[in-house]
Amino acid sequence: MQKKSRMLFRLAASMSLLAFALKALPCGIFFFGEDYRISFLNPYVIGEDYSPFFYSADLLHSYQGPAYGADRSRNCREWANAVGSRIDEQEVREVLYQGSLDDLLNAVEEGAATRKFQGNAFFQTLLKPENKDILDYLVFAKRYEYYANYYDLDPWEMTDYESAPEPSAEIKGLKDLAGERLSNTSNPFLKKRYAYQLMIMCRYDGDVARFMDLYSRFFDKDPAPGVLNDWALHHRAAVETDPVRKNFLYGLSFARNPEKAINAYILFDKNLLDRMLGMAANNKEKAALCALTEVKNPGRSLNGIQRVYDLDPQSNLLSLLLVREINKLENWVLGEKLTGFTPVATPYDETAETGENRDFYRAKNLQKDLAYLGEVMAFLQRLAKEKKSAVSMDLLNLFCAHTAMMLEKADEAGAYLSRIGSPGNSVMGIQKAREELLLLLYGKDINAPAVQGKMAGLLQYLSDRLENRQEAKRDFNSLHLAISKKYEDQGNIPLAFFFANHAMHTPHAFEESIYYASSYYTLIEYLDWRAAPGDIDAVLAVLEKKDKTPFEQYLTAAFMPSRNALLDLKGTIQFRRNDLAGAEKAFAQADQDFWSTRYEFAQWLRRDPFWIVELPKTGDSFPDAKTELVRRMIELEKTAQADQSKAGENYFKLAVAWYNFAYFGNSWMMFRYWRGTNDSPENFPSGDQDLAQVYFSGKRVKEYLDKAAAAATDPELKARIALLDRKIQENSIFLANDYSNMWWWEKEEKAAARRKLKAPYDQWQDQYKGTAYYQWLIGSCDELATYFGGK
Amino acid sequence: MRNCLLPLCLAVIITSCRTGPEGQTNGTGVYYWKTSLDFDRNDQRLADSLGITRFYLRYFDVDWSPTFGMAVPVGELQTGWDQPMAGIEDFQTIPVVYIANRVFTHDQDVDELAGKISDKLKRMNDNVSYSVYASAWQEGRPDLAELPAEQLSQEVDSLQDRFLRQVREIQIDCDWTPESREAYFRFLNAMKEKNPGLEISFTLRLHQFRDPDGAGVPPLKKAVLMCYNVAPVHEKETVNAIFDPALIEGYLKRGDYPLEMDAALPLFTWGALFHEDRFKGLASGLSPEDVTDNPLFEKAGENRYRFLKDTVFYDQFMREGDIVRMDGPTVEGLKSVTDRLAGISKVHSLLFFEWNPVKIRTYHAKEIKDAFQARR
Repeated sequence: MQKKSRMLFRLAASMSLLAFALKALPCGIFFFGEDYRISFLNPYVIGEDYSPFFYSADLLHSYQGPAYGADRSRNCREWANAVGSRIDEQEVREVLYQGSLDDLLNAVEEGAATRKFQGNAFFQTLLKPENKDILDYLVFAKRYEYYANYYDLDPWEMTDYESAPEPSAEIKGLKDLAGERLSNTSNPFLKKRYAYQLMIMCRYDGDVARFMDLYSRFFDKDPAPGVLNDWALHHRAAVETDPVRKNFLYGLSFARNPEKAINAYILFDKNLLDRMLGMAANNKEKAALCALTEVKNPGRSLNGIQRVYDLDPQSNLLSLLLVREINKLENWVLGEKLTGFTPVATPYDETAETGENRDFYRAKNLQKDLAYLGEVMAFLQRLAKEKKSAVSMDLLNLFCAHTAMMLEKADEAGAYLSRIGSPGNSVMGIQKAREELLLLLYGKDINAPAVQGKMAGLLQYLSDRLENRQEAKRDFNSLHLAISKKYEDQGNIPLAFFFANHAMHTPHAFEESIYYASSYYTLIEYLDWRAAPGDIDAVLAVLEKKDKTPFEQYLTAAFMPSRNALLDLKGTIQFRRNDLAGAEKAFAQADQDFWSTRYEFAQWLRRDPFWIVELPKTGDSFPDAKTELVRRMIELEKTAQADQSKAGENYFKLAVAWYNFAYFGNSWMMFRYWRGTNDSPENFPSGDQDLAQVYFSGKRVKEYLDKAAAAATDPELKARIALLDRKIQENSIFLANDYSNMWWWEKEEKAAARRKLKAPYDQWQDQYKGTAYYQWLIGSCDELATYFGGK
Repeated sequence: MRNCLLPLCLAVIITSCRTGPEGQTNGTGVYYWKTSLDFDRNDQRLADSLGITRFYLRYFDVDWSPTFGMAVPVGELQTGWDQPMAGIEDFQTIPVVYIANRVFTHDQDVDELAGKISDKLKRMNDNVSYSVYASAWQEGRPDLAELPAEQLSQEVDSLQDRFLRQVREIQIDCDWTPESREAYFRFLNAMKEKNPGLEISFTLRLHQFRDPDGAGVPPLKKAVLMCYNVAPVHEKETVNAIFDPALIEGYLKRGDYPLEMDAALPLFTWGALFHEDRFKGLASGLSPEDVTDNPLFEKAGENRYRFLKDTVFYDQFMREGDIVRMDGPTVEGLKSVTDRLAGISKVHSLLFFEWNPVKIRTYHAKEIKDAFQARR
């Protein structure tokens, strides 16, 4: 249910991205690609500067960069240099970026005693009289930032605007002040800062001439360029009118200004690359343009990445391109295997889902992806060997290990992993723990207690350090999906179940019912149609074990169904196979009021299962517990076998009961936990056609009808047996012709369908119209009288 | 062929029924001092095992705004659908508002401020109740998942009410001074008037506990004594800025504060980074286990570690020879202070600051709480 609700919210928030990231499902239920994309490699291992451009099903991975990235770090160092020695970047950062305008104004008012910047050498230095001009500039810049970017008119949300200053008037005053101070100051640091602020104000005022004058005087061809020159370049791109040059400048800005990179990314047209390359002054600039082109490439980028590396091995965008490529491959190679969905970032197309060649092309594309994964891994190994790129050796070893892991080359992966240092609790440290877990999964015997103990330890470690980001939770859940899949491949359904339920909130496409299921069913969904009765016993044994190992403790911390629900499922699995003795034993172990008080059993198991559902209602009600029903069925069968005089009637009752336990019956919840109007044998959940025939085609009903017919001597009973047999024929016609949609057909089509459905009864009516049963039937219900009378 | 939903479209909402926290006056509480909510079922289990009955939830801060010329709310807790708080409706929730002392050194109408804060708290209570609702949607507990749809629906409807019924107290956190005392105490009186039916409590610093005559005693009935943040973090002479049992026990010697109270112990740590004896910044969340047996450090004193090579550490460029001082409690220290607190009759229960599952286990919080309760 969480998935559905979140989907609705994200739908409202992200309408513009639907085309990129949507996985549509029946009945309008759909998930976004980022809800289920597989990403075991956390892209944040490369740092946060370019996090908006990590691989994603959405247009951007995020819409906000880091709170403190490379640009701000450069800026802080320039400030530290401007006010003198012994000033630390961190102290500048605290004042510039970790406080609001009000914080700064309060601190200035309180002076050296302020708590906000207590012990901060940078702030104390700014308070010195000789630095008053610099402090004034800082207040000026903070003020402009406040009014230009964020302005809260009513902080108490009380429709109280009286105290609010007027932003446009404030900004006008600040622009005048910037011009005045630019003229008056002789401090080169301040002169450049005021020029920059004034230049931005001119840009947003549309005063391009003054903008260009300030840009050429202070920033273009500056002999001592700094962070402001790169920021100015970005604004310069914004006022450029030539489209190719504008793109060229945005391409350079993207590489130089991570903080402004989203804007550059959106405005950059990669189709102009060849023309832009002609404007580049050197290979570094060419590499920057090629890199941004690849950042916008949703397909295979290896050739482009190699080009960037050859042009500029020190490109700061290489690590971004590499991590993107590995995340893409995870999506292509692992996505379907673990979630059942096609890879994200492909617009949904139902024909692609159901097309006749789907499996052929999926397999073919997977082989191509695996081959490409090998190429990417070889390139990473080349970088690790050449040691001349800007990507750290720890990262390269991690990437090599991760790609080896994806190819299930556990030994090779382990060798690369061992070359990474001890990174502690950092993102890299947590990623290393993930890799160690995957190494156990793909390289060790996961049934060995020692390995299971290590798995539990690593999972708990990762759980304790789980970030409060939806994506982090998704990836953590996906690890459980991978473990579940591995156990499932080995036939260990109980352990696969525990891990699948740990990942319960990750959408997957293995059972369609998940999209409609209740929480009750979601908890047992993995076991239903997969588990044998013994598997459920094994699950119960772990749940009820007293002294659990850490591994078992971890298993049972998953979302778990109750003992009653598990026993009900066990009994139901046996019941479906007509193992009534097994079903009775399982049901008897559950609380006997379970079906009258929990879930929807009482709602859907309330009518007499021994009475044909469509006939006038004169039957009894459903027994109080499933146990009682099964006992009655056992008794009916036993008596039928022992007493020939009762065989016809008893077998007929069992036939009626199995009719009711199936799709068209009144007690279908004995067989399944949910029901759809368009259910059909083709989409029967387990693919078990024998059970599908029991549920849809009346296979078991016919078996009992045959026995009943063989034993019956009473013409009245024969009439009832024959009627149910015709009912099954009618249902087969209904399903074969897809009459579930009949209600919206044209009148003539409906009439034709009704004639077809009634055909099986024609012969029955001829044969049995003289029976009391026939007379009772048409006498007790006008509708039936009309039905038969209309022959 | 695709399926369409039949009548069995079961709305499935989860709620929980923890037994009787309302009656447990001696339970423990924990501060949840973050800007967003993220409290899942495993957290709830841990809280249960610890015997937590109260959550002190920081709703927002209030600071003076020179721009507006008035006090304004800042750092509001994020709430809503994407901020789950599993099972909070079964805990007593105490909204906490931190107010900067300078708010009360500026001339302003404290009665109006109390009104604004009270109104905002009411609005935020509604918002937090959406987080309760969100948790219910995201949970999968069988006892609740098994409820029939109609009963579930009623449970969902009652969730928000249950949460709101559990809000019976508001706590104001302010390190008042002699300059602000008079305005602060007037503000507290105004809060009482604006919130009939709710108890208003306040946080009490150790120095205020030691010197009630000098600091004054707020016009309320209930306090929480904060037994942490005892020394300036940026001074190299500080033994332990967060928790120094010797220092705390000195403050506690005078045990006759005139009001009833609970006491809060710290379950957090940080590393104070020093370069050439100058404070460089905090490594927030750094734990002793991160530095012990770490080849990057060597021991350089009781809770001090020396950097053995140049490295970027928590965004700081640390040089060989620099020092990190590990501030925070030890299990022994917590036990010792707990023992002292248990001897003060007006201290009724022990609280922890702040919610952190790893630290709760590391510091044996349950054992400490049980030891305190055993002596009550």
